[in-house]
Amino acid sequence: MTGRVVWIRRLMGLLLAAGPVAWALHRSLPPGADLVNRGGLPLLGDLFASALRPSLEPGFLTLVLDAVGVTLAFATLGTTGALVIGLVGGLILSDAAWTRPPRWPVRVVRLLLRSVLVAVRSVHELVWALLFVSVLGLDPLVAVLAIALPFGAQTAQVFGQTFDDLPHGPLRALRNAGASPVPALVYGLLPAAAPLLLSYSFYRFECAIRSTVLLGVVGVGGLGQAIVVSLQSRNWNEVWTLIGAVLLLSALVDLWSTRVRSDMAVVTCSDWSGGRTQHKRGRSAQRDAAAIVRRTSSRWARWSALVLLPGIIVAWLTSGVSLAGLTSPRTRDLTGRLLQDLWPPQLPSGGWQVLIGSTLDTIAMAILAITVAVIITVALGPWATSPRHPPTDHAGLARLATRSISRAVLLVLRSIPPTVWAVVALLVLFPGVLPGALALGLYTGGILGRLVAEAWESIDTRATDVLRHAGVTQRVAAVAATVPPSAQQFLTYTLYRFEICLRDTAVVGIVGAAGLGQLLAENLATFKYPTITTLLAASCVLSITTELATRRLHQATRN
Amino acid sequence: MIATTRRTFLLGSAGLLVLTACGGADGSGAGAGSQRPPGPLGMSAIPDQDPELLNRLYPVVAKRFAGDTGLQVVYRPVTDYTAVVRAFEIGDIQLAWMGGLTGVQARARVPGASAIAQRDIDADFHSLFIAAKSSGLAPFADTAGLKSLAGHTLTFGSQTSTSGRLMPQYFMKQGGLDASDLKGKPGFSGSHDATIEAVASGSFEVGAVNEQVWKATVAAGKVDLGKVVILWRTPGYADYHWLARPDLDQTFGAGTTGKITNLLLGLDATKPDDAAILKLFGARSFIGTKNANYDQIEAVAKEQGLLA
Repeated sequence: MTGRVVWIRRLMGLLLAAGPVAWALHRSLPPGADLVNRGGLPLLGDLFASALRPSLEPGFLTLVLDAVGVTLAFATLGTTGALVIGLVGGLILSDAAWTRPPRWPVRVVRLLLRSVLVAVRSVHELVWALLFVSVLGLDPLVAVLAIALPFGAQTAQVFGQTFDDLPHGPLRALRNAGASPVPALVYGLLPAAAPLLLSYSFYRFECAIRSTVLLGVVGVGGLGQAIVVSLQSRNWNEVWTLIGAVLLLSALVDLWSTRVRSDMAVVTCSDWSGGRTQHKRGRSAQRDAAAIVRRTSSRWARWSALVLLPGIIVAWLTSGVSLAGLTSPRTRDLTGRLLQDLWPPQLPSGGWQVLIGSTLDTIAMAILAITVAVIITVALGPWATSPRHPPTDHAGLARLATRSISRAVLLVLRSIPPTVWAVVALLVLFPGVLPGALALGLYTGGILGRLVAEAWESIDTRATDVLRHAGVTQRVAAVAATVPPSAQQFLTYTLYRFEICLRDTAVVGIVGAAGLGQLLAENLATFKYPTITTLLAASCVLSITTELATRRLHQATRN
Repeated sequence: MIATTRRTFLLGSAGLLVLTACGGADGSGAGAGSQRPPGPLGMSAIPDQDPELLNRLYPVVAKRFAGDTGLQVVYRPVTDYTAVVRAFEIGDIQLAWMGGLTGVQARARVPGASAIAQRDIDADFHSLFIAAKSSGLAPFADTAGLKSLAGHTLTFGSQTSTSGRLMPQYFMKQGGLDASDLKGKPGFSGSHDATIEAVASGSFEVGAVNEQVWKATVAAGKVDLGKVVILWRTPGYADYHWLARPDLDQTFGAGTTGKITNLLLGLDATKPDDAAILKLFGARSFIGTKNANYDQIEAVAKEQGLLA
């Protein structure tokens, strides 16, 4: 490849990125209208000033503590459910578990399962929760199922892939020696997979905490619901206390999960987000396996294993979740009724024009959101990585401080639910695509920034070392050796988060931003179920199209 | 890889269609809630204002209902309008304090449900259009005056609020003010309290708000009258009411609906306990009502596409 081709390709790449952003901006800016609602600016000031005076009344703090417990319980049970679905689904989906090629009925079932899982995960947790509320009523099971289903679908895919990526020797050997399938799986596949599965489980738990807070919007309890209630009465002092609690909880779970992950296997959140297998460039699988075996004796992992089962039991008992709702005749009646209401699908009032318009708004919102997130990541990410060589002088101390601050900012960004960001954004921006995009962008920025920082930390340092030995200054060497390999990862995470952003537009839509989410909220408020079916189908198609498109884009850039 | 996924997707869609179709065929739909074992009687209210107030008021009401009927009554706080209707529909709550529109929506979904009582102020309820003084808008005398709002920003309350959205939007249409004449899209603040805050702070120039909540907010000194001006008081319409499920007597014993209605109508402002409840409701007394009183609301809701 000549230098010219490389430049042309880069230029094309830039256009490919800039074109959609320009289109999205054009679409979301109303012609001739004001961009900022200046009237809301003073209120914004008051609001942030009130962050310094969070409500600390004993009565309220008891409520906060209770809400923390509920959130933890829901997240724990939701994750447990997701892991059960993921393990079963993953085993069915993976080729490794089957040893010899399965017969055609199994293949058909697998294909069906795979497509059901894709559909299940293309619907946002919040929308699942809204549907479950119609069937189960005001039942804590709603929250657990709304987390367990979409997360389970995601987990099944990742677990299936994990099983397939492992060396198959032990399993083959056991099967060939005449072991029956189940023991063969238990002894041949699971031991090698366990560290990876556990590490992913902790990552999922982290995500589940954030999602449970989000579900508060539909009133399933916990910190999220408390935030909605305080927000409705515009009691910002209470909102800040609750957000502080979310922050603390996220920070602790982040820390715990990172510890376990780095102890169990050399796998980070960013690995899971970017499709784990690509991360192991340049290292032999055997070395990894050795590392895994060596590290399973971590203290963190042992402690986690000890609290795991009691934790689930406590969560079960305290949350009052019961599976009775699943089998009751009332649920069966209501499910029948809901399905009957949902069928046949109907276009929203305004017809195709409105449907297509909202879909385009959704896409524009997701593009702008990811742009905001990328800007945040580029601005904060480099500061949030830990330095390779432990600094010794006071310059090192300053570096440590900037690192802690940028990490804290990223944590704050991702801990505040996008619904709250949207309420804040709606103070200064007119309802529409922009406040939604800003809200989602801030939230996503917190997540993307962390993923990218983590990825940067794990980049091979040999290139930098070589350059430094060749006499290049440290700064230049670091940039020259890190940027090219990390650009690919950056793109991976950006595309991955873009897909999620598209799904997350449902969340800010529900608080009245724009797009399919808003249309969904409007139709849910007026019980137009046939239209809801159409909107769900539209978001499903959108999700799947994006998934295919980003995958293709990914393949194109990797070559 | 791509090919597999496409096939998977097509098959998946087909699978979903089949699933949904099956569901549609077998669900007889009727009788939801009727097979529920009699638990405590559930009661709730649309979250139209400060949840703190709701959480103070309704547990007291629940206790009162329990005392008079001998049943166990629980207040189930719900965070959004639609959820109250849904909970009522599926029988998680049997009694609900509804707005005009939510009541009509709930009756459309639960045939036989009946409006049993309303406050003295609900038969002739009003919305107010309020504005920030800084907007330069002046009060006006009739519906046609709404045209002067063109070019200004406006916020409603909740999407399915009768006094915060449905009726204001109806009068705007009557006065010849289209939503596209406003500056930017109209906002949905979520509650009357939030609307008042948005207007007082200047975040929105104009707001449509429930007269009773406005009065209560003014009385509590929570709004700076130097910053907000009342532009116009709408003509009257029927609004809030207590709605009871048709199976209330069947599930909790004959005469339950009657007992609760009598209790509400008998609340006496001269007795301290009753007065406390009435005061929290912002009323002097409760009066009887019937479904037909909300025919106008139903017609307006249908016209605006807010009723499926």
